[in-house]
Parts: sequence; structure tokens; C-alpha cells
Amino acid sequence: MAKKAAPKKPATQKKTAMAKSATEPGIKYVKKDAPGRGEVEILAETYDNGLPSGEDAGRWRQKLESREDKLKYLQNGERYWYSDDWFGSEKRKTPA
Amino acid sequence: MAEDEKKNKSIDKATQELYEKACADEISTSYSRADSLKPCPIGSVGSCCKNCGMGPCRIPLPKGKEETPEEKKKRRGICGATAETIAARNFIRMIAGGAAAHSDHGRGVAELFVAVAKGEAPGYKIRDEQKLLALALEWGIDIGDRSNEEIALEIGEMSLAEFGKQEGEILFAKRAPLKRQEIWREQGVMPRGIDREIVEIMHRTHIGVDQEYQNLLTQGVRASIADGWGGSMIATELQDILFGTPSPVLSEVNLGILKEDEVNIIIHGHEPLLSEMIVAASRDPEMIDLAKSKGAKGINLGGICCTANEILMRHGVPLAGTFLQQELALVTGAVDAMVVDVQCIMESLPDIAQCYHTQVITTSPKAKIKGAMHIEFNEHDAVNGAKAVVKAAIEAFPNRGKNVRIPQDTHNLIAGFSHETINYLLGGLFRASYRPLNENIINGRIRGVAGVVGCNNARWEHNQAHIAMVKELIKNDVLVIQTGCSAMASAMAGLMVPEAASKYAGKGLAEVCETVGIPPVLHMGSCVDNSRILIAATAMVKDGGLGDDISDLPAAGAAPEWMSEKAISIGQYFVASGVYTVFGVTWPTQGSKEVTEYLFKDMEEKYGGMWDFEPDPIQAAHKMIAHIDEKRKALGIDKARERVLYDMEMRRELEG
Ligand code: SF4
Repeated sequence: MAKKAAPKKPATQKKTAMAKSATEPGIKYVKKDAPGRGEVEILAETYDNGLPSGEDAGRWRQKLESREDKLKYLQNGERYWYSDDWFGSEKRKTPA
Repeated sequence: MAEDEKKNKSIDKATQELYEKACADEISTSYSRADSLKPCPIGSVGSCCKNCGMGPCRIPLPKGKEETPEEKKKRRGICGATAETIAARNFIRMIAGGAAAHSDHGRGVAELFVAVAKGEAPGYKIRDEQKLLALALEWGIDIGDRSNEEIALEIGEMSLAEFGKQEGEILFAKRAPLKRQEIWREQGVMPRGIDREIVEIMHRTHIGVDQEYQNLLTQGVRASIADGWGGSMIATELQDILFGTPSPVLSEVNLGILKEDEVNIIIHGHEPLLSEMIVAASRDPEMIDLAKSKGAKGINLGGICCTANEILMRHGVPLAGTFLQQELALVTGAVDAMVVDVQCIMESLPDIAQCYHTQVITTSPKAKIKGAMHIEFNEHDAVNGAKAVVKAAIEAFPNRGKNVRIPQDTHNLIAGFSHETINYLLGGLFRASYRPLNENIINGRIRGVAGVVGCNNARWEHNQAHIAMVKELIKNDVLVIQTGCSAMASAMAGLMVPEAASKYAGKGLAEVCETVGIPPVLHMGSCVDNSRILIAATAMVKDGGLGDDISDLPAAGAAPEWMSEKAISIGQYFVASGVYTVFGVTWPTQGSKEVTEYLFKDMEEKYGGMWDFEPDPIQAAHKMIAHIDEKRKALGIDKARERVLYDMEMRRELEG
């Protein structure tokens, strides 16, 4: 089994990046239309190019370790089936 | 060989290349057999009955003209069965076949599950405690300080009891939207037990029993719900607990995944019980050393059909190909062993294998093939069974001849989009939710959702309809979710990577995909995993804003290259769950206008979903989009909302 990839560091912190100019090497900017402000330059993507590797790359369920955490997640994340604490089509906040 | 002839067979280059090789090697394949064996025009429209020894009775519609009432009266079998009865009986027997296949798969998983809980299945363990707990909460099983195995034993026994239950309602039906459950009760189609509904189809379709086509079709609906919300859902849920709930995983697809210098093992069929162990055995250092001792650099696994989708979703094992590529995989001359379990396995495989060096290995006592080696799967000794299979492949490797051609084509794909993962990706760990999806449907960035699933059919250009349909849907901002061979087809066309969003999707869908970091076409798994689509649709309903029932959602389903009875069962449970579902290639009730009309129109009044038939994939996509637009209109979300940014002054006004 392939080893779990080490968590990637973000390429840069947003705050620092904003302070740098568009010519700063390693940092990408894109021009976009902003409503009422014309063309503005904003920070582009900050991820590293590449392909995630290893069977564990996309795994997220392992983040929940204890039984309590798992039950709590179910009651929250899967609340439509495992909790009364939700509003939606079958439990309206303001009854129709 | 003329370019046109190859292209008529498949849109996929690797398939074309190997079809040409098969012809040069004088190998008979499903492609060549489809050329020489035309479908029976009477049987293919459901007008042939062979349910008793007085028949077969063939009662075709008159050719090229409208049937007169007198002609219609005469169109009966010896027992007096009308064209309607015969077409409806044939149709629901297909549902019975499909529901039985999925459900028997589910039963097999439940049996293994009980064995694991009892500690009688070495090598297996409970991998997803969270999903185990979810089922315990759902079925009212005490959790407390009990061990996972104790909880699992109760869940396994309750699952097994679902098959033989005689009365009441199947347990997973309670997951459906409340309104949907009411519809099923009102229409008398709430399944009592899984096996019971299938057996009842076989009884009702026996000579001289149920002879009212509406009543026959109603039982078809009931059995199909027992499949989708019963047997298939049990298979998916228990497999997730045993083998892990799928999360995003990167892999590759197409016959180019075979390796010239490694032992190639293809796993083919539908049940992942043994293949899970084969994955482990292929990574065992002892096996790798053995492979090296025979001159190979390692062991390479690949999959075909839904066993492939199962091990892709959980381990990232590459996909070698779809149903119609199984024979061609052997034609590469590079497959050392093809290990098969159940469903969609061509009997021609051992004959083709003889022309090369491939060892075809059957593993299920339910599915033996003359000419194949049989190594029976036994859950109590699966580790050694898996090792025996891998060893047989390694032993075959030195016999590989010179007549080897591995096509270069492969594509990357991201798979692993289970309902749980979609929920997590959209909302995060602290408030997982379908809200962002619903909101983007409401604001019109995403027009709707389409499930495109099903098989390949040798009567249709391989993968053409899948790809044409899926591209048309995403171009029109419809998010596509897929399973089965249909999902593999999209992966082969490069539609299952995030980059596909900017290349193929409409602006709104592309924006959402880029923000969430998902492809515009999501791989949800194998054909039993169509149950995941049912749950995703239910989550969308429950989250709110898109109506009270699955039939309110701007959603549609399709199987553009269907061929199996399982596809008919799947289609019927989608219709019964409220989804407009369009099939391509051929339609099996065309011999009776009334039956076809009932399926295409009357079912909508009863279930909110209905069947349709449209062989042209672009036209079919347009019909799906038109249906999605109708639903948007009914929900009042058909007009793009003006997005107004409120400044402080406007806010004050609003509050005042
Ligand atoms: S059941 Fe009726 S229609 Fe069917 S084969 Fe027998 S006699 Fe013919």
C-alpha cells in the first residue's frame, strides 16, 4: 500500500500574498471583472500542481477517531436520518 | 480492415485496435456474433411467450400498418393470453431476474457479514465503524459499550431476515422521503420482503394466473423497490461497513493499464467479496517474490464490470474496461488470469483464453463455466483462496506468447463519490450538507441532476450513447452521477477529472465544480450502488427547497446502452421512486401499445416518475433536460434570480 502523502503546505498565506505585487515570482494573479469596480487583479489558485497519490489520499472518515466523534458526526452531518436537529422539506422552520 | 468497420464497433481507440486484432487472430467476439445473429423481431418487443409447453406463442403486431380491432382480438396465445398480458409478463420477469441478481448479491454479503461478526471469516474485519453505528441507530440496535462485532451480528441477522420476511415493510424503505413512502403504501407496492416479491412475480406470470397487465406491472414495481431499497441497498451498506465507505480516489481506466512486464490479473463480475482478498494477496510480499521468481516485475490488478468498480472505489485499483471489453482483454494476450464471480460474464471467455495463455478462473458455486478452472470462494478461508488465484496467474505468466498487444490508451479518473463523501465535500466535517448543491440548483448555476447508468450493448456502438448523452447533459449545466459500465465509459472519455469541468461543462456547472473541486461527472460505484443515488436524491429532498419528494427534484435518469435484466429492475425502481427514466437501444414492450403507454404515461400519475424510450442519445438528453426544466418551473425556480448585493442603506430600509 502506498504511504499516506504528507499534508501539503499552502503555497502561501493569503495575507502575505495580498501584500505582494503581481510580479512576485511563484505567486499567480488573475484579472477579473468586479461589479462596479471594473477589472481587478486577484490572487489566483494557491495549490501545487500534481496528482494526489496513494490509496489514502482522499480518505476523510479516518479523521473521526472515537465512537463519540462518529456518533456526533452522524447526528450532525447525516442529521436527516439520525437526528431531530434539522430543518428541511419534512421539518419546516416556518410551517407551510 | 476498413476504418469504418472498426469505428462502427466502438468510439474507443483501444477497443477498435483490439477488435481488429481479434479479427486478425480469428477470434469470435460479441461484436462479430452480433453481426451474424440478428435479434428476433418478435421476442425483442415482448410478443413471444414460452411460459408453457403449448408454446412458444409468437403474436407479432401486423407489419407496416395499424392493427384492426379484429386482428387485435386474434392476437392471443393458445391459452388465450393477450398481447398485453404477454408483454407485461415478459417485462416483469425481467424485473424478477434483475432484482434476484442484485438481491442474491446482497444476501451473499449479509452472510459474510454474519460470519465476520462471529469471527468465522479470517482476513475480513469491520472497516467502517461509523457506518455500522449509522445502521444500528437506524434499526434501533443498542450501541452502548457493545463491541463492533456484537452490533454487527445483530445488523447481519436483521439484514438476512429482510430476504425471507413475509409481512410488514422492508426496513430501508423508511429512508425514503415521507411522501414517497406514502405513495408506495397508497399504490400497494410497499415491499414486504425481498424474496417474496420476486417469487410472487414468478407465480403471477405462470400460465393462467395474473392476466391483467396493470396488476402484473404493479407487482413489477413492488419487486423493483425490493431491489433498489432492499437487496441492492443491503449490498452497498454492508460492503461499506466491511470494506470501507468510498472516498475520492485517483486511478486509471482502459486496457492500457495492463503491463507488459508484470503478472496481469483481471477481476471481473459483480461481487467484491473475494476480490477484496485478491487485492490483499496481490500485495503480499510472498506473492510478489513468487512473481519475480517467474520473471515478472510485479503483480498488476485491473478490473472489468462492477467488481472493478467496487475495488476501484475502495482501493483505486484501475479499471481495465467495460462489459464489451472483457473478451478483448484476453485478445491482448497479456492477461495471465481472469478471475470471475457472478453476472455479465461471457461464456466465450474460456474458448478465447485457449488461443492465448490466459487462465480463466471461476470462483462462485453459482457460476461455473465449462473450460474454466474453478477455485471456489469460501468465506472461512478466503485468504488462501485468494492466494491460490494469484498463484494460478503467476504460474501462467511464463506461458505468455509473443502475440501480445497492449493498447496505449489510458485516462485518469477520480472515483469514490459515495453519498457520505458528497455530503462531506459539500459541507465539511462540521456541517456536512447537501445545502450548497440545492442552492446552486435553486440559483440556476446547476440546472439539475441526471443519473446515467447501465451497461454496454453489442447492438450499439460501444460507449457512443453514454458519451454523447453525458457530454450533452453537462454542456447544459446538468450534474451527472454515474455507476456501472456507463461510469467507466465516461472515465475513458476523460470526463471524470476536475479539469473536465472547464473543458466540457456549461459555465454554471463548471463554476460549481471548480469551487468544490469535483469533476462534472461523479462516479458513485457499481450497479448495486445505484442505491447510493437513491440516498443522494433523498438527501436533496430532505435538505429542502426542492419540493417534498424525489419526483419534485429537477432530476432524470437514463441507461442509454442497457442490455441486462438488472437494468430493467434498476430503471423500474427509479421510476417507482419518482424519476423520469429514459432507456436507449431497444424497448422490450413495443409489441403492446397499452403496456408501453402504461409504463410511459400512466405510471407518472401513480408514481410521479415514468419510463421513456429514445435511442438517439442527444434526443434522449434533450428529453431529460426538458423534464428537468418542467420540474424547475413547477418549483418556481425556472427564472434566473437577479442577485442583488445590499449595501447598508438598503439594509436599513429593509429593517425599517
Ligand atoms: S402460457 Fe399461453 S401464451 Fe404462453 S406459451 Fe403457454 S399457451 Fe402460449
